[in-house]
Amino acid sequence: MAIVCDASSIILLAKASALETFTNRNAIYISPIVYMEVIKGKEKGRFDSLLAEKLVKNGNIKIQKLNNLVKKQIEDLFNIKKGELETISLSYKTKNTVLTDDKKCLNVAKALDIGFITSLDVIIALMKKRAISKEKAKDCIEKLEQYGWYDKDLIKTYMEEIK
Amino acid sequence: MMKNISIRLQEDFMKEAEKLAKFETTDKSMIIREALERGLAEIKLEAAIDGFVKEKLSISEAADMAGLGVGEIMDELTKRGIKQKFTITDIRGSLKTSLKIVK
Repeated sequence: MAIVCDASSIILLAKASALETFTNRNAIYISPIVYMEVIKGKEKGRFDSLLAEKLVKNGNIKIQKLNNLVKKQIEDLFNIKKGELETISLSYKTKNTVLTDDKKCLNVAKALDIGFITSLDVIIALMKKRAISKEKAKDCIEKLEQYGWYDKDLIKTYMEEIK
Repeated sequence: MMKNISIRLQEDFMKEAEKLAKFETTDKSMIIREALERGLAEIKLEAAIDGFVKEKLSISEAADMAGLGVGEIMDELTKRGIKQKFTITDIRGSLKTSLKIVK
């Protein structure tokens, strides 16, 4: 089973220091547009952009092109564009789970009955599969809390999972 | 390629531009062009943030509107204290899915 990621999750997992472990252990696919969205900023020395570029070069993250017809149909139905459109289209076509931290993308995944997970779920799963320690999982979530993408209740709920 | 356009500007704006051009020893049109470019970038960013907050735009769509990378627009949002909108109810079942598929 592969996982199709959008840019938001690649960036958040990089910020949480969990992207390398995650991509070492799992088959990860991104679309060409998502790759461009993530590496835009590498010229400014962005750590997440540089890490994602390295993981693609190493083959830990694979770029997969997709069918324009599927994309067009999903775009027309849900008015979703850019990286999230390609992520949803790719997972719909390949019947793989979507990893996203974007609400619009989550809502389209739900409407199309595509399985979805978030970066917080990945961290907890890595911990429960003993890929990372409890301390490391706590540190990852604390980094995301500090970054400020998720609301406090969400962070609290996932912190409870670590205990 | 550059194109010509005629615009009417406030007298005060012109005076400020002239003053700055003199100080920077450059020409007035260069100062005005830079002001317009910077102003447009700011307007694009504000529109992108507004669209994201109102849930009209996804994060990639907002980045595209602002002319930034996704990481850059996420940084701009979090700097302003703007968080992702989904709640635990929105993602019900996602942890279970993750435990099944993540190795």
